Amino acid sequence: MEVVGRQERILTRKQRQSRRAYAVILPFFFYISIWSLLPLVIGLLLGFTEFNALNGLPKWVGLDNFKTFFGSKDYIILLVRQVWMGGLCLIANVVLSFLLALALNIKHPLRGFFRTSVYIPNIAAAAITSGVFIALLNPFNGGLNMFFKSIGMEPIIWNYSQFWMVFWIMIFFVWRSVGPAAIIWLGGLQSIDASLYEAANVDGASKLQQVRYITIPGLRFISAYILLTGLIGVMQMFDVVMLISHGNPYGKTDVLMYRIYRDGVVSFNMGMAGAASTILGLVTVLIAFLAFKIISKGDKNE
Amino acid sequence: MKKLIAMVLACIMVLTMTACGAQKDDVAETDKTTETTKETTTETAVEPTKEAEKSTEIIHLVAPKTGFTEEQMQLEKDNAAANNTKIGPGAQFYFDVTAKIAEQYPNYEMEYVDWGWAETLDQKQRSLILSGNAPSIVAGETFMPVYASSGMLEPLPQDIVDMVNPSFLIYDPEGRPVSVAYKSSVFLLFYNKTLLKNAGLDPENPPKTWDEWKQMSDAVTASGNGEIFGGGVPSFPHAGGSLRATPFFRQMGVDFGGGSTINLTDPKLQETLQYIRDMNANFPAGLGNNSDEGPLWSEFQDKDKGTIAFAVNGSWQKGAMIDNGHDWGVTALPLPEGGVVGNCMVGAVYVGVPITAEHKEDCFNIIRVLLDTEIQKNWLKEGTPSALNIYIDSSAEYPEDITLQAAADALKSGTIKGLTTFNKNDAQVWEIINTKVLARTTMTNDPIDTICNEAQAEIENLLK
Amino acid sequence: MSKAMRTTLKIVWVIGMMILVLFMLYPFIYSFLGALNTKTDFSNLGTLLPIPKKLVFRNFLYAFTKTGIPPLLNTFYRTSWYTFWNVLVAVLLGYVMARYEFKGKKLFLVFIICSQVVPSVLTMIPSFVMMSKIPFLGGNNWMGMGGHGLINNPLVLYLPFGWGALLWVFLFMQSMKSLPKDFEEAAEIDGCNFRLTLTKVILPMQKPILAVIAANTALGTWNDWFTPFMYINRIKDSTLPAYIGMLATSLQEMSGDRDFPKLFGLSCVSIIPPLLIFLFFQKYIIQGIASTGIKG
Repeated sequence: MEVVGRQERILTRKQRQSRRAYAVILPFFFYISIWSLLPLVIGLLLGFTEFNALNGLPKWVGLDNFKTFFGSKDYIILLVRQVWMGGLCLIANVVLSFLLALALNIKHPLRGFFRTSVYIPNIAAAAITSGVFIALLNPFNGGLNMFFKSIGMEPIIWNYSQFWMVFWIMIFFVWRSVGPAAIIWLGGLQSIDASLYEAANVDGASKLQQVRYITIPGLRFISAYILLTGLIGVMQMFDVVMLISHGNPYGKTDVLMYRIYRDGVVSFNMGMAGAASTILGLVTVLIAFLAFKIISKGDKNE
Repeated sequence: MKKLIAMVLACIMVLTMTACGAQKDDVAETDKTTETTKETTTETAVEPTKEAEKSTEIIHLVAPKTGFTEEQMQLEKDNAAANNTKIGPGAQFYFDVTAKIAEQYPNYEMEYVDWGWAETLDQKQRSLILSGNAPSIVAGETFMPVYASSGMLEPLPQDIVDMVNPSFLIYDPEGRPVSVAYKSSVFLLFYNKTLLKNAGLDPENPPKTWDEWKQMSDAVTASGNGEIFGGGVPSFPHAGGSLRATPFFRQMGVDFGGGSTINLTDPKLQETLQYIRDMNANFPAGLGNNSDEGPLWSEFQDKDKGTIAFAVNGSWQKGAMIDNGHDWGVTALPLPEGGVVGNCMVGAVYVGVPITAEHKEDCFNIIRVLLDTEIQKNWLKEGTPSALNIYIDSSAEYPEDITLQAAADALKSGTIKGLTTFNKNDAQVWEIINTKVLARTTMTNDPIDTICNEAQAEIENLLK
Repeated sequence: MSKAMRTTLKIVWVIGMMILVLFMLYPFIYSFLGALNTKTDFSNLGTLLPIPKKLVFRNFLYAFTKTGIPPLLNTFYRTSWYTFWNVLVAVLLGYVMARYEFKGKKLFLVFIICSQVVPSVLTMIPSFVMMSKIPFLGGNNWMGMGGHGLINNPLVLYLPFGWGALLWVFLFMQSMKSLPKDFEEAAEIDGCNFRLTLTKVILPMQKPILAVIAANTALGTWNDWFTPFMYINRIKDSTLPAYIGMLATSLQEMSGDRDFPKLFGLSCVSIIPPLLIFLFFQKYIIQGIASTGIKG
């Protein structure tokens, strides 16, 4: 005890801190890496092999899988669609959740109830709630088309049209994730110092000017956070597509992540799944990195 | 500092202890098993023949689709009780198999697993094979030829091969039978006589050719005023679509290809696609190519519905038609002009034994129970052809059943294959055929040769 | 603005929000009503609200049979276990990362951020191989051979600890940044050591973010049906959502016979615990997010 105590006193504050930090961090990082980093390395190596998980070991094929990826337009189309469909979902979610947050930022006895209600769709697994959408969207006797018929409208064959399938994917996505985003926005809105608005009122600034010069700058970090996490989320989005449209009509709503999932665990083309997810991972990291750069730049300007 | 290290150490220790504890548990379990084995050995030690010793060895077998777990049994019983019916013959088959294995092989410790069907089952099995833990028996339908062609299945013993119709076997690349379906069906044309009568057609004279069928179906649709439809060839954007389209291609003497070729550019194949597109007009919009098959069957067979006159389905369709009191008929699929008889195996449950499995002979014993003459009668009751030669060659067991007779005729007429398989990326190629060829044909008015050429290029890239 | 106009606006707001809430809750109402139907009744309905002709309650009871209870308990154990560990890791690592200066801190930070971007599908199959070959577990020797490893071993529901947890480390770190250092310095002067500072000074002030972490982990673990589904065969070792998943997939048999009311009934039961978790924690969740002010 005595010896240790003296030693600690001799060490500089910085040395003491770094020792303690390593003692806390390293065991955990080591343990986490076993379960995550190791499979990732195995997975990345798979991208350079041909492997169907049935017989024998992975066969090294070099860059063949990557050549297939860039050689055929099919995978590129899927990557592009992942970006634009994900982008649409993200934009719809960000805009609608912001409007929702503005609506929730009004003091009223019922506000708590409304806030809870909009969050609830997010607490159930997507697989559990998608059944309702499937039952409603049945082209022939689904609830929606039966309703249209009863008011004398032509039924819509949803699964024939890319537009409607993307539309419903967006609805399902936004329905599930608008609540949490709105609550983050709300947190941001409420963290803005109220005295700023009072001062603006005294100076005779209009509501619109207040939004322009107080609300928006005050929410910069929040919006960056929502965009960044949302971006990473939609670049990996596939469960919504799988549950609502199965990529139909005829592959027109298929996205790269869904392709990777099917390559990996449906057709067991493990090599291709590895290569495609490496590429998707790199693209995502690149986009996230750019977004991160922009945020930290904003931070410095502050 | 010291306390921190102590804490981390404690964490690690807790973890190791849980890990070791688990290992101890396992060891204890093995101990128990050895103990029970010992006990039984001492009991039977009175007659110490080798045979007896062998039969008391506890053999643990993991097998999907060969019997029922307690949960599944309970579920079936509950369902039957809730609907006030007896347990259906399809479920009764698994009850009987489970009972027979327990009776005949008391030393088998059976682990009947419920891993779902289709993709889910494939995923589960491949993951286990991959990790070197292959189950004792693998089961499946569309992906079993892929397993067989990879050479991972043990050849079947001759006595099993002799028992069954060759249509029910799958062969490995060396031509040895490695997997057998203990039941399978073929496609037939079911029709609703009431609807045909109402449309002024002769209900006792079902269509024999494509043209006749189209005329009759069109007539039903035309007189149905948007309420009643004739029905056509479904083109569901999954295996359910390609399974039903395949017999029609085979009737024209073509198929999608197979191995490392794809022949979507074949004019006869495109002609068939045109027919499928024409027939789709006789479905209510969006029903014949929905990814959920359920609504179509419910329109055809449900008691208060019955709004579709014709349906292409496996012989199991019979059950629902009888239960719901329809006036119905069944016939072989109509033929194109100058066509040949063609069909496709559907609703099959193939089983096989992986090369890596332990106790292979015991696994084959399980398959022998599955093919038991008495237990197989359950399938006949359900209206599904049994794999056994005795039930296909003679219809003595089902003299009244026109559905089964039609199916047996189809089976006797030649070896019927399941869906063709591709050497590489099989599942992905089929997905393109299902969605970008079949479903697109009926969903859009794009020229058929454009559809085919685009898909051909995409698939060729996958087969390279 | 006149008072009358204000009142009108308030009423319009309440009505608008009510409609929105109805839309958000509609799928839940639909599944609840749907679960009260029999299978045939439901498939004949095709309405926007499946109001049952004849009330049936058995669809809700599948989860409470003799087979349903062990998975239910397993789900509770697993959820509490991971909630505890996630909070612990987030607090320890987050605190150290936020307050201490040491070499390689940037590297750890980059690691944390990158780990959140890796698509999880990428590690699914390699993980499976690894789990089966893990040494010393499930009868495996030190080379990882001879046994079944963590496959079918109930421990697989408790041992793995992936880098999904690092998100919470990051969150706690951010939350620490908004807390002035004065408190800790004061505590240190008073002679508090690392543990005391953490438990007596930091944690009481970080309750909201702890609640966020705990609630989110609990919800995520509860809803994670895929891990048990993938690794465990026996229902009694599995979890409730995985049991539902197994049933749901076995519903997709060839004839396309999908029992929607049963699916809805099970779904209704399985969302009750997450709902309770949320209702219990929601004050903290909302407060937590608001007070963190999440600064990039």
